[in-house]
This record gives sequence, C-alpha cells and structure tokens, in this order.
Amino acid sequence: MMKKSLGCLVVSSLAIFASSAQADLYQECLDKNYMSDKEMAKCNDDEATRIMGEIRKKVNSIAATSYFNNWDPSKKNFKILLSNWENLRNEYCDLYGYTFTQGMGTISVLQTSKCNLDMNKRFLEDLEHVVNIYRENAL
Amino acid sequence: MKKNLVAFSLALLLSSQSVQASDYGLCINRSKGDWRKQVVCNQDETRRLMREINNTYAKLARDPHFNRLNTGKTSLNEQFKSWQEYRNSYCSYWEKAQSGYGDEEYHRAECMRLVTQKHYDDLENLIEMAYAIRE
Repeated sequence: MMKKSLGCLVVSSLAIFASSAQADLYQECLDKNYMSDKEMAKCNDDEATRIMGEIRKKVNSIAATSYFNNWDPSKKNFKILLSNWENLRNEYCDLYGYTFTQGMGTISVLQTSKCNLDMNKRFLEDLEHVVNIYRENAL
Repeated sequence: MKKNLVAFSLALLLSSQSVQASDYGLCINRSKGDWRKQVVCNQDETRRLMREINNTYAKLARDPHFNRLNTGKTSLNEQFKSWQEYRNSYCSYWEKAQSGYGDEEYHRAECMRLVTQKHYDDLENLIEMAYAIRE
C-alpha cells in the first residue's frame, strides 16, 4: 500500500516536472523570438501540437476504460468528437485571427496561432473534466 | 443627445441580460433540488443563449468587415454548424461519464447549457474586440 502511494507520488511529481519543463521551453521560445510575429506564431504552433498530443493521449485513455469501450467499441464517437473539435477550433480561430486585422495587416497569423493554442488547452481541460466526473462516479 | 441615447440603450440591454441571467437562478431556486425541474431550467437557459448566439452571428454577418471571411468553408453558418456538432458530441461524453443513476437527462441539459454559455462568451469577446480595434 505504502509502496503504491509512493509510486503514485513519484509518477505525479515526474509528470508535473515534465509539463512545467515543456511550459518553460514554450516561454523560452517566445522570449527568444519576440521581435518576429512569424517566429512567435511558430512557438505557438509547436506548443499547440504538443497539447494536441496530450489530447490524443487523454482521449485514448478514456477510450481504453472498459466502461467507455463497451459504449463505443469501434471508437467511432471518439473520432467524431476529435474531428468536430478540430473543425470548431480551426473555424473559430480563423474568425478570431481575422477579427484582429479585419482584412488589413499581418498580425492575424500570430493571433490565430495563439487562439489555436488556447483552444487546445481548453479542450484538454474539458476532457479532464469528463475523466474526473467518471472517476468520481465510479468510486 | 445621441450619446445619451446609446448609453440608455446599453443600460437597458445590460439590465435585461441580468434579468435573464437571474431567471435561470430563480428557476433553479424554485426547483427545490428537483432535477427534473432543473432540466427545464437548463433547457430554457440554453434556448435563451442560442437566441443570443444567433443574434451575434447575424450581427457579424451584417458587418461589411467580415464579408470576405463569410464565404464557403469559413462562412459563419459553417462555424455555427461545427460548434453545434462539437457541443453535441462532447455532451454525449459528459452524459455518459455521469450515467448510471437515472438522471442522465439532467447532466446532458447542464452540459448543453455550460458549453452554450462558453460559446456565447467567446462570441461576445470577439465582437467587443472587433469594435475596440476599429476605435
């Protein structure tokens, strides 16, 4: 029991450490490229891709539980959820980026990439929320 | 004079929104914890938010600055459809995660309200930003 708790503590500490290291890398990238909208947009894109990886992991971990697996054995609903999410994010962020320039200027690329990143973070939180609800209910 | 009229209309709009928002709170209070009644409160509030969202999309569509974006895949109509599809599929997970106690309908209605509220807030921010940038 003691060993298991210690193991959980080590794993969660490592996960927190790894995620804060990644966040530092992102901040470093922004600091290094603050003179260029294009380069900063690339930092946002890289971070958004990393978060998207977390989202896929989270979706797969939900799909792997027997409860959700019984409900959706072909994982069709998960694929639909992900694809609906990506459509919504891309379309909303196009609109968001466009709003900044409204057809004039170049800052919209940076704003669009920041919107993509923020929306990915939000979706990851929303998925975590579903996992937490399920865990609380399963107790 | 014109300025006063705009300020008055804005105050009227804000007060009507706070009345609407408190309608939901009142409805929940009146339900006295009955989840079936709370389903109706959530559905009513979602309907109200959907009307607001439709108005906001219409406002964007009428705005000449957004004309260039409002075509084909990037059309506002497509965006609205994508958002609805996402909301419906996300809420089926929310509902599934909570199911097993017979009150799935409540959880679905709550999720629909919350996600609709989020989208409404996003669109409102967008509109505010669009006007702020032009000033």
